[in-house]
Amino acid sequence: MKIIEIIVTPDGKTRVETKGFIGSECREASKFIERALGQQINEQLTRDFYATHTEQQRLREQS
Amino acid sequence: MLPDLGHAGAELPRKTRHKHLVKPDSNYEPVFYSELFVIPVNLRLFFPTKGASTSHGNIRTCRDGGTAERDQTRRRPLSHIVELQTEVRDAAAIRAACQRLQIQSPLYGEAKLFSGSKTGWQVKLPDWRYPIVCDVNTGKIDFDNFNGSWGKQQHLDLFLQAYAVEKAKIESRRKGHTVTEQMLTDGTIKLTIHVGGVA
Repeated sequence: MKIIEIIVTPDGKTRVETKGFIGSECREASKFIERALGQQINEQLTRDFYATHTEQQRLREQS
Repeated sequence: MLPDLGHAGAELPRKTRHKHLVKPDSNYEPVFYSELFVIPVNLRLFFPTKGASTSHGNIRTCRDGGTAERDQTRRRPLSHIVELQTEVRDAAAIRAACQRLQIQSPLYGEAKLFSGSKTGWQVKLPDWRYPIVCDVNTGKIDFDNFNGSWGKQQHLDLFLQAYAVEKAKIESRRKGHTVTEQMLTDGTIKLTIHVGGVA
């Protein structure tokens, strides 16, 4: 299941996390919410992003 | 010297292991006999080690296209994290935030602050001397609370939190996604957007 989690702290800080996506698909999926909420101040790509991204590239090259 | 037989093989007493082999010639020395037992790779099939079994499982999972994809989704990899500075750009979300906080609905117009006047959506926060003014064109909020003396920062923070939550819900529903909301013990609000609308 693909989900986007939005954590909004009591001081108004917002964090967006994407889960269950493959590769750069997560960036596309959460773009609408990031644009709607405001200015991006930090972006962190996790190990899973690179893992799934590499796998996606490999599959693309094979086909 | 006995080569490594793996977990299962190591547990078997030597006598049991010998039963699986053709009885050697009586001229064979014990050391050579042990090596004869280990060298044929096929014999390891009778004693699959714990590691070998796991490895086999992985290979099977990876080669099965559907299973690999299902496994990845089940593990739900966290692929990226973005921190945002909230900008107030939507009048509908401002209104929804006011309803959520049970404060007066916003009014559009010119508001008088201590240091001048500003035009935008005015929101009257509890116990604030002057309204806050949201400029939806710039996304900024103008306010004058004299470092907390004319209004607590906490109220402004809660307004921003309510705005972000309502705005995220509006946009998610517009895209056809399902949203669930959870209030955490420290006051943080967690929204879970199920992409594609599946809750």
